[in-house]
Amino acid sequence: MSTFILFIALAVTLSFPSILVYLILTDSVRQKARFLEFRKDIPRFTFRLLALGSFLWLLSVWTAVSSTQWIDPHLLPTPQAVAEAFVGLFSGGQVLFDIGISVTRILVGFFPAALTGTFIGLLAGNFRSLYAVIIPPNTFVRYIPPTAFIALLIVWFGLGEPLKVSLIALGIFFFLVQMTMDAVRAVPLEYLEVAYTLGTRRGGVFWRVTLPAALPDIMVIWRINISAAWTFLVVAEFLGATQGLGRLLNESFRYNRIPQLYATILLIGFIGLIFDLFFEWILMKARLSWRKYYVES
Amino acid sequence: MNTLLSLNRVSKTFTPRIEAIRDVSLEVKENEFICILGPTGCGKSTLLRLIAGLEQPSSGIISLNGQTIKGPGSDRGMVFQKYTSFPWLTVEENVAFGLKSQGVPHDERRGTVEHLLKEVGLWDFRHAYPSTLSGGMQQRVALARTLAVNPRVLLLDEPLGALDAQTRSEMQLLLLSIFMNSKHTILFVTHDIEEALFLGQRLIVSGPRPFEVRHDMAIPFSYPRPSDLRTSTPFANLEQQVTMLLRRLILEARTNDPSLCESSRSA
Repeated sequence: MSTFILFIALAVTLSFPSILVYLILTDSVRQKARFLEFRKDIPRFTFRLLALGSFLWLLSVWTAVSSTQWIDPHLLPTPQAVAEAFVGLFSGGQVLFDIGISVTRILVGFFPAALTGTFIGLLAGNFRSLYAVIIPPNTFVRYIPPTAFIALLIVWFGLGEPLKVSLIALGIFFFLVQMTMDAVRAVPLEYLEVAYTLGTRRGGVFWRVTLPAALPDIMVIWRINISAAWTFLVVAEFLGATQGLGRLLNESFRYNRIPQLYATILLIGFIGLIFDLFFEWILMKARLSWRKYYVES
Repeated sequence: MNTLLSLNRVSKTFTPRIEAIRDVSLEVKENEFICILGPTGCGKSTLLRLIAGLEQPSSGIISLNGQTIKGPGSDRGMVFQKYTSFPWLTVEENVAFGLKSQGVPHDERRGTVEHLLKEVGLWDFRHAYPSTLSGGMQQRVALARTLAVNPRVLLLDEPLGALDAQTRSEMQLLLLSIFMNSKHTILFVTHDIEEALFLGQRLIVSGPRPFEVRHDMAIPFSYPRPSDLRTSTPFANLEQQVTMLLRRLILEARTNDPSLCESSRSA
């Protein structure tokens, strides 16, 4: 059985890149359709096939490398071993609790910081006077790695919940301000001028012109920063927590459960993927599709 | 008829020392359709922006109904050459934008918006987003959006400049019919002589920058204007006359200041 799996894995490992290289070199899928076409949509089926192939290839390389034991199996367990550990994680039920705690911390750390950071970015992007007040100090703090604050945060808050939430908030806030400010400044001035000549007051220009005009960019900024939030969450939980996915990483590491460590890392990846799909869905649904210029239809 | 808009010795110099408008005095009467003609970059757009209140004059006074203009307001509506429909709003919501800004309740807005969308021929597209529309349709959205707040003066800054010839002449007829129906006061900036003569009842001509009123004349064709007016002999003669005039102004500017050669050639 395992030789069969190894055979399949080796076949995929070698054939997928070969097929890809073949497609790129001949530059055709079928007649007329070029493989490399600038920003042109491809059939959904082809897209899924390529994406699936890409995942399968990674899995195959891993299977091939681990089964042949080129690398110490303790360092790189087989996918089967990791899959077993993955199932093992869920058998206890504790992991669901860990996921819940971690996601809650992300939400509590991210949303208040994201909302205030976005608002302050809107102010800085719209008003040059507030830009002068906000952006220079913001840039100064932004260049300090958020992890440099960890020791200070522990002194302030101890190892409890405030540490996790504040590290996430600190890690994303200053980037959100800067990026939102840039997005607002990219809004064409004509939109504002049109609004003025239609008798719109400043509040209206702020909330009904600059905010919606920058909103698709702001959603992208949120999407980028929520993945950064996970980084800081894991760091904070690794330092000392009794629940959470970072705690699970730490525990797997301490008790030398390497397959479980891999399983937890993958689990965090899957949760990240779900978050990302959620933002993608918001971008599509929340009347922000005007930015896409109807490429798909 | 009453003077609606008056410019009294208005000049505008941008820092650093670019003279855009030089000593312009102008009286605009109610219900006048004025075309402002000049080579590209002559400062005619700046003139509209001053009237709109989007820029402040360096000297001189602009007043509407005797009130000095200090900033932008809905009594002076502007349509730009660039497509400025708000892409996050549907056609209908774009047209309602100004009324909503002014706190007009939904039910009252509805009637105005419906009437205007029908007038500019976009009723069937009311739920569409601007990015799905052609250039001509986008300019109709912009026009309807401006008309919705019922401005005293319509400032049109080369609104048809980016359109193809066919769409352009359709839009000219639309503008004329809007002017005929509701008797707006219109200031229309263009660098196209034929367009200026076909639309306006008064023509103001400037040479290359800085903008100056070099000629101010009545265009002697009565409304309504059929589209074949453009091919008539009197129209062709007048067009020829204005072409010569504009050419003379450009040449004159060139001899006075040889450095202008480049900019006037591109015009």
